[in-house]
Amino acid sequence: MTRHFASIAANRLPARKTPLAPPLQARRHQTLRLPGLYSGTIISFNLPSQCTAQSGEQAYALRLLPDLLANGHSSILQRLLVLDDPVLQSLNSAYEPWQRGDSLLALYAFCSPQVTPEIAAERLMLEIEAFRQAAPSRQDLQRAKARLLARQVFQRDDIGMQAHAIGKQAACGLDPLALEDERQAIEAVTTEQVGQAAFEFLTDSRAAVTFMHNKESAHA
Amino acid sequence: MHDSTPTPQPTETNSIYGGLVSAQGLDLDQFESIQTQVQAWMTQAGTGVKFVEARGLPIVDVILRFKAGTVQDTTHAGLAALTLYMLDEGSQQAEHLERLGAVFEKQIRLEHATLSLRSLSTQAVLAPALALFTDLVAHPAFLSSALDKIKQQLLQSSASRERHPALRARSEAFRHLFSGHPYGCPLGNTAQGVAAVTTDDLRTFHQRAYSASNLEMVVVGDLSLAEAQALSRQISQALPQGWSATDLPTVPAATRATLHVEQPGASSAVLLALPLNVPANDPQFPALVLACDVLGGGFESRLMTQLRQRRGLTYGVHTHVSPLRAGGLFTAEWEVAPAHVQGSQALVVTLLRDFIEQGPTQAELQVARKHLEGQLLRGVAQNQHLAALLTELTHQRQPEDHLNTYLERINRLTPADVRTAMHRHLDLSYTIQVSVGPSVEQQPLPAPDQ
Repeated sequence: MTRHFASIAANRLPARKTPLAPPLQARRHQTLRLPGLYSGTIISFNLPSQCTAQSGEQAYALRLLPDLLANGHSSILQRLLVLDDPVLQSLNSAYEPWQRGDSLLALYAFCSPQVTPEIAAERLMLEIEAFRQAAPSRQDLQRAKARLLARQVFQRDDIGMQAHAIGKQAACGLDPLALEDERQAIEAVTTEQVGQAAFEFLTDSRAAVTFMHNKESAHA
Repeated sequence: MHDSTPTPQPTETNSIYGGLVSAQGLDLDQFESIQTQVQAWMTQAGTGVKFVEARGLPIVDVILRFKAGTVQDTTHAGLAALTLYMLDEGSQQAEHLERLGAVFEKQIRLEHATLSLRSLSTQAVLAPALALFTDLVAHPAFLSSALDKIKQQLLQSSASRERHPALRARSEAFRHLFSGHPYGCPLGNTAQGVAAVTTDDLRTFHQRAYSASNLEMVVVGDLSLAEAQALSRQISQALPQGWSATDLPTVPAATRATLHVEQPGASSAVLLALPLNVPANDPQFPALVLACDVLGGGFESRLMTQLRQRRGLTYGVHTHVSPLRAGGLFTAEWEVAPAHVQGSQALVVTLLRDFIEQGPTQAELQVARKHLEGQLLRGVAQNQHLAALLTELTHQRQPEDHLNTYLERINRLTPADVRTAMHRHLDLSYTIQVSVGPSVEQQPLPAPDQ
């Protein structure tokens, strides 16, 4: 640090803005029609980030949502909508916890043949609503925790990923040393905490839905 | 995203480091060496195993590579892919693996079907994960209720590959270059072949192609040699026994061609291919890898400089050498405005001809060496990459000391060596040009910026 950065003069930092989710409103949607596009839907929810969550418990409960809902064959939505009733061909989810302001939980779904993006989105929203109304099972939560925690160990195999994790934590104003305590905090998350976070945030008013249609003819 | 601002000219005092304090004291011309200790053995059931003990992290990576690729489809095109994709379909094992946080992946290519497991090394996780992984590979259920769904997914995935312009261009090159040879079916399936496959076919194929003697295994991670030996024994004993794939016939003689696939879109995918029938373990192969890097390996490569920096024709142009067991090819790929397809093809051919004729400069060669060195050093520093690399080297039948002597060998190669290798193996009279995109009136290329 001293060797490489000591000669750089200190300067006052610009004021940092904390972008917050838009005020609550009705479900938003948009339709894309492009040649070559997969037919599918993207559903995103305005969620707090690691920085803007009301508590540590809430922040870590939110981190478990992608694995609980949509990542892996035995995630809740894949079991229901890819395996049991194959409305979707595939599904995955992403949530970026490290933002200065609020963040998004996004679900990317590709439709089975003969299923329209509108129908797929409606089915997803129905199942998400059912999840929102009932806390996850202990077994599902254990699975999500095991996956998230193992992935964090696996990422340490890559020095670049480690630097990235430390940098992101610092860049959004959190203490990089706190990364050491994440394992314990994630293990401590209860089904009630996840249920509460889902109830509060996976609402219609926080959802934005994109319908993706493949249009074979040239884009007008 | 690449930065498109020109690199500042080096100053005499601080050559290429641009005045960076953190780079002072670094000697980039000093070659690092690799000292990876690889243990190798053969199990009683005939599985070749490579193992590297890596205690830094509580992780174990296991890779199983069967010679069960799509070229082994002797009855129905699609059988090899369906067998692999059906292994974990509807099984409890895959679900249990997820619950342990283990990552299970499968991949099918022309020459191999590869399965990998990444697990924490804690006994409470690793032991059940390995048992599930072994069971999944050795005793698949092949549920007939799942077969139709997997068939449909395979056909949809192939259809979407065919719609993807760059992948379509690659497929067309394979179909032309390897017509009549198993490599000539790059998708690895046909609608007819897929329709004909039954669960009995899957079982028969699995009994042969997933044999212990048709497998190469790589294990990297937090376990002892004795534990790795026990693990390899456990997997190889559970598998079917006694079958090995034979080598493929050599590829047919190549002919030149210009192919176009009409497809709507805002840009065209363009590919230039040359046959390159040099196995990866040929002593001249490293010289061809260096040549490929100088030509289209990085941001400073010849093609990138001419097509992107100087003419703004494309976002990226990349070259590859693809060594297959029975043949291979060299490719250059780029995306361009539909009106510049022919102009850019002519430009690439000219640049390629000049390069084969003149060979690289000493400076270009040094950049390529450092590029390859950096890639390799970063690769061996990560368990997962190291495991994948050892799997690839085994598949290529590289000698035992390949990894630890590679940097020294590429360091010894001269511009003349690279030129000689290109003269011997790259022949532009067999050029295959492929374009995928809309047909429009062709325009002359813009003048270079300097």
